[in-house]
Amino acid sequence: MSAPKSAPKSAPKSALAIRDLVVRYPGLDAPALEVPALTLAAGEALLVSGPSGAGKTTFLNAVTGLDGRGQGVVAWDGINLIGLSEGARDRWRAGHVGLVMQDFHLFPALSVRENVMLPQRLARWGRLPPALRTEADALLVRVGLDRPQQRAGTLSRGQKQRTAVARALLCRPGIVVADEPTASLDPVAGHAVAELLVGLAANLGASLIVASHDPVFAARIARHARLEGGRFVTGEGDAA
Amino acid sequence: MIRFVLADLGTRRLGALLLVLIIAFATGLGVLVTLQERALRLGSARAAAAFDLVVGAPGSETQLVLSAVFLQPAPLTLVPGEVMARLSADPRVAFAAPVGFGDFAGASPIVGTTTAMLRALGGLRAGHGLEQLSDAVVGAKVPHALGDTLVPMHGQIEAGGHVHAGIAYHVVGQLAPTGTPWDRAVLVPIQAVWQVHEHEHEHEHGVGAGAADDDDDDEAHAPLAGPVDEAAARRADAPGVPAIVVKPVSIAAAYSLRQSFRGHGTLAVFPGEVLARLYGTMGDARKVLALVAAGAQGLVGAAILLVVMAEVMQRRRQIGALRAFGAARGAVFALVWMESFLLLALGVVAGVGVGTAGAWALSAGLERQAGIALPVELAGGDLLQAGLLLALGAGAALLPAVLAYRQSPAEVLRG
Repeated sequence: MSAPKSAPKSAPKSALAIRDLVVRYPGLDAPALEVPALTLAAGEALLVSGPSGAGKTTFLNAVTGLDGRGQGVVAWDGINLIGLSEGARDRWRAGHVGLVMQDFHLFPALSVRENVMLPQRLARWGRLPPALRTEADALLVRVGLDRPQQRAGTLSRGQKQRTAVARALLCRPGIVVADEPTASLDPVAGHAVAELLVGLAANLGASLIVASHDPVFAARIARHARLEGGRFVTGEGDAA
Repeated sequence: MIRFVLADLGTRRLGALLLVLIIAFATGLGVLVTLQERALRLGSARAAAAFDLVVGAPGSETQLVLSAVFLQPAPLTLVPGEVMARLSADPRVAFAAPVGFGDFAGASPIVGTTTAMLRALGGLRAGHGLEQLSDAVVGAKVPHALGDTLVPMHGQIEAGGHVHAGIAYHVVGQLAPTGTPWDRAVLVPIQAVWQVHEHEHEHEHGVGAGAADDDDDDEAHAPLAGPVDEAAARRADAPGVPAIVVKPVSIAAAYSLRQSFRGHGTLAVFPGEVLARLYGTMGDARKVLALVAAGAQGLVGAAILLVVMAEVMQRRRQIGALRAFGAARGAVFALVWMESFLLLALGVVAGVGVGTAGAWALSAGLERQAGIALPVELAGGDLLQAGLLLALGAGAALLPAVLAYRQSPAEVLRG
């Protein structure tokens, strides 16, 4: 496999530091998320679990800058996402975060390659560097898809999620975030996707945050944090 | 980005196609009203071009024009032959030609006139003019060739007409196409019409085709024979005719002639003026139709905007996902705007096509029926109007785009 073996140059490693983060939603007394302190070393992987409604989504929205509301500090390499404008967070996310979600969000009429390259295409005006296409094809081979021209609509669910993994990793993000990436897959496909996600993130040297109940991740990610009622109950703390 | 828009429209092509069709028909309706009204105006104005001044007996000006210019059958009171004589001798007149209606050959009206009329209508494209009493010159669309024999029917055959025994015309010439009802007419010497209908004049009722007449036509007529004496039509004791087409020598002469021949038993009209009055009425009708069409367009536009906005709401997770993956906010805005505008632009362009095609079809149908060429012409103003509609659509497409722009990407992880 000719995937980028470590590619450290283009992927600045990112370290996360959260301090006194409080996210409240209007109409609710208790904060949806309260994290006094949490750090993640560059290249480190973190598995977040917890019952639904425990604040997993709020946590992921905060660390990816999808939602900039709240108080406190959510800083990647010193850049605090809280209080940053929506456009600034969008630009930052486009340059630093690769996202994989439970739903694949592929466009069925576009080819696998076009789907992988779409976010980059829409992130900037003008033409894409030609090397990006070579890179996309290489990544697709790496995730086990060797027909980049195939229409995304004709893929199996497992193949779709592998396409989504390739899309998340295309611009060599320093941070990879996955939200229940195996929840809509059968065990075999889920296993393969988990393997790829953890392996490729490690290869890139990217920090990895996965929210999942799937035991398949517990076996592969050492650090485990459990959310309940908006607070981390285990594995929290400023270790490392 | 274009590729993405097209691919996305491709996945929902049925819905998109329906939207485009609805827009196309709404636009086409407006285009059709505009074009058809213009065609009617242009067509009738061109048909009247050869008729500067028409003189007839007092009565309805509109009817005089409709009969003389558009050959609409109607019983007209005759003007005495003395009027024709006076006009012919008048120095302000370049020529004066009688228009006398008599009978039908198939569906074609037979019109009695003089050589001057042939020239005024644009001349012949084949054969020669009216030299013998039995000669006939046919319009460009009359289905008879040179050498054919025409038997006149009194009244149209569908209306239970009967033949004049012993009378026949020979086609000796064919008019160049004029795009007017005269293309369907059969022109014969006015003297022939007089001869065939001699006895009717005593009753002083019009030689109007289709007019109920009780003449007993079983008797044989004397066959038409001998050369045409054009001077006879200009004699003061010549029989009356329903209308006289006059070509004045100048514009000043035209006005002065109209003055002289109003009152004292005659009526003189400018067909152009009478038509302008008709257009005035027609213009009001067009305004109403145009308003209805514009209303339809507005309602369709609003409905489609709602559909597109509902679609954006329905796809907000997808839009959020694009943003979450790193698409710029402006790009999402541009995508939604382009997609909405593309649908609209396709609809408007197709609508102009549909409207023009509709106007062509309608014109062709009317032309077959009325014999007036109705030219369908797109004017610069139409393009301006279509451009305005597009600009309006471009503005309306901003709404769903703004809706998409304001969509928070945080939505995508929820649920």
